[in-house]
Amino acid sequence: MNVRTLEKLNKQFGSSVLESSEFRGELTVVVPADKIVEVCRFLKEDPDLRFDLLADLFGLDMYTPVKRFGVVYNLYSLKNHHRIRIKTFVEENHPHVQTVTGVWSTANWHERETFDMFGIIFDGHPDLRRIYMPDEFEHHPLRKDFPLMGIPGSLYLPKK
Amino acid sequence: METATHDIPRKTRILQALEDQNTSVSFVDPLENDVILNMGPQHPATHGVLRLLVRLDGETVTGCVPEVGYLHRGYEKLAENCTYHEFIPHTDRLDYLSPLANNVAYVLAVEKLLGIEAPPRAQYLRTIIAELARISSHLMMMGSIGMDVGALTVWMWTFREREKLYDIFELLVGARFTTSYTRIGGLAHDMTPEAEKMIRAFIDEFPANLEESEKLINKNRIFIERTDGVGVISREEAIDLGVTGPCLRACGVNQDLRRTNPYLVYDRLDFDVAVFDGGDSLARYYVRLQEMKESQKIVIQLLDKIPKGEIHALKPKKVLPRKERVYTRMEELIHDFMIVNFGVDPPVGEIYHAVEASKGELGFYFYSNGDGHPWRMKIRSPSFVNIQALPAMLRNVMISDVVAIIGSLDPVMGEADK
Amino acid sequence: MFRGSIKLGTILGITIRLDYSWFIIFFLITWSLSAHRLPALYPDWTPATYWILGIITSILFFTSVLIHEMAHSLVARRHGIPINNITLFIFGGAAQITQEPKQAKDEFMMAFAGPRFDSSRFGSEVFRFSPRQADVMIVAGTTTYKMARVVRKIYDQMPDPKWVIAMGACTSSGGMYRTYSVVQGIDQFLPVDLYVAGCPPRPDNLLHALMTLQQKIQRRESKGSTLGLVGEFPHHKPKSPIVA
Repeated sequence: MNVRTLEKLNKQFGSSVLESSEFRGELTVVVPADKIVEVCRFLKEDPDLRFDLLADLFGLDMYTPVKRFGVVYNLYSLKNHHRIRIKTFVEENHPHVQTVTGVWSTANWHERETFDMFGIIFDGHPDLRRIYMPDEFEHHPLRKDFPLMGIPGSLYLPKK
Repeated sequence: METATHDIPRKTRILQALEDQNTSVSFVDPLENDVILNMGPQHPATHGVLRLLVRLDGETVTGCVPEVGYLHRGYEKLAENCTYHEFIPHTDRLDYLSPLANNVAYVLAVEKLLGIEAPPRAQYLRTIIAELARISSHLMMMGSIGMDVGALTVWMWTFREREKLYDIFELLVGARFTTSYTRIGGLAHDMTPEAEKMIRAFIDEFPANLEESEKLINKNRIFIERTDGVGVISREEAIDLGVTGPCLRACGVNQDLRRTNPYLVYDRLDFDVAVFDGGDSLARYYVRLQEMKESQKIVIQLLDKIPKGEIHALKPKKVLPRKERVYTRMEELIHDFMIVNFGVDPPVGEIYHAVEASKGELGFYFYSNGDGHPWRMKIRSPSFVNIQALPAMLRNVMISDVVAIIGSLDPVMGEADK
Repeated sequence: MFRGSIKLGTILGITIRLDYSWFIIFFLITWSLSAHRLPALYPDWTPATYWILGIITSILFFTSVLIHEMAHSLVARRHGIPINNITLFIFGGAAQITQEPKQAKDEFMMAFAGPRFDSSRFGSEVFRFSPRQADVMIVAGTTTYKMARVVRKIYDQMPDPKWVIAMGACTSSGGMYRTYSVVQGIDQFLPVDLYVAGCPPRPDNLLHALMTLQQKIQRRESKGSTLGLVGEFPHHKPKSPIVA
């Protein structure tokens, strides 16, 4: 099943499939950030593959000087009971990715969470605002340079 | 101001009388416009700290925005600073109504990353506790949906059953509720014969007890009218919104990870997947009721088939050795020291493993760079995604149905907010 | 209150009376059992059997009502309130007292002598979810910075005197969550009277906490209000009526 999926992707997108790997039976495919919506739409609508459930969408901070942030899409096919992982990487100074809420509506809250935790901006998102932290919080907690205990004074606490 | 009073229409004059020099917002006439109601984070009927901003036209809901994050404890950042073992107590507090299921899910994911497998007796025991946790969680749902529509007795009776389960957990694990029973490569300790007897006694009388509570509401006219056709979500919409678990099976989709991607020993068991049509609150209730009955069948089969043997895998660098060997032998002492202080020795790579928890698909994603603690851990929590489906379910219902719908959706904020 | 009644007898010094209206309810229950319910359940008995069984069931039912009223009366007696008699009437049973209870606490206790929740044995009523009617606020569960604002608002809405119990390790000190979004102990923004340990605390632990708080208040160790000790309101001057 992994082999078939990879063949179809290669046939359709060719050079866009930057790298692919398989570990413990799971296929991971890396695509460039500007092709992500097309790849997702193809995977969802292809009659053989039909990855119609977006299980998860989240960010990844590699803490490298180039291509620091990654966005990971976990897809599941209800028809074939099969999973695939799509990854795309963006730069630190331009963390923009196209939104996939047009393909799966569930991406709405997941992308808000990724924006809240990493600061990755999803272009075209209908309502991009913070979801876990209060709206006036200025940092992005899951970045590697944010300390675990937080920055004192960054969150409002009522007086005793 | 007085000179032009006869020109201003009457309703504006009423609203002007409400303003004073401290007013900073402009009022609109509530009879002519929609009202925004805040079902705040502190509310007896929203399960946990969920905030709902509901837009009302009279008593009909025209729109709703849920707000989560009031219980965000920073689990994912915490996991990056803990070893794989140290995170096990934190997983109890995710879906705190069925903590054993989260323990099992986490440990299965870590074992997939490490490439090890627990011995058969541990697998069977893990399946037993996962199913008992599912029963506990669904009993809570049954009680709270009864309480939400006004039937308090159901809540009391299902809690009696849950107290029996808590006694079983206390005997088996040592704690009622925050269990942390599983370990990487096996379980903390074995099941004693008393615990097995207690589980068997509970499971044998469970169908009769369940039927007692069932009889109260299944044919009750008020309950059916409050949940039938209320909070309907269509099949395509449910898949599009990423809903999983009983809420998806209530829309007619036959999707259960125990059947489609089996883990533990589910492929050797004989059970049916509960699927109902309709997508309304009543269907969601029926799915959970049926799942409890199936879980009971599963536990009976497991108790009959459970093999004797070890409950710890024998992989020295990855699995914590048994304590009596740690205190008496040199190598086990060294391994124990290394594993506790520096963590298990995972390969570089990333995996994702999902199980069918009582609320839906609970998945753990690990990105490991060879270190003792994960570089990135992501929890795919089913309640987070199910709450996202709430605005779709709350189209054109009455304000009093909101509570019944949230009860049938059964979100747990510890899981949704991580 | 009950003008026409028949005296049945005396049990433990309490007179048992039957009001005339009781016969109506007795007849109604017997008739509905004998003419409708029992024939529906067991169709092939004789009419005489239905009526005899109906009468016996009704008598047993009212005996249980009587025992219920006896329980009320005995508790009242233990608190020093003499009970005159118990009357069974159309709505069930009632125990009559001749003297007002010495303290409000006794009246309260008498009313909840029947099967009730555990906490009511300790003087604590059913939990109220509205802050305006509450005396004690139990903060349970981890408090995040986002939630702290809300908790403080609720605390401010409670009327004086008010007490706060911090339940669990997470509210007492942040617990096992030493992270960016968890308040490390609610005493950073609320005055706390009692800390309950445990993660999570056992139910008996919480009941013990409630009792300890009551003792603390009784020993005048905890001011629940900003005005002064409980029961003393130095700033309050009784107002005299306006004489026109």
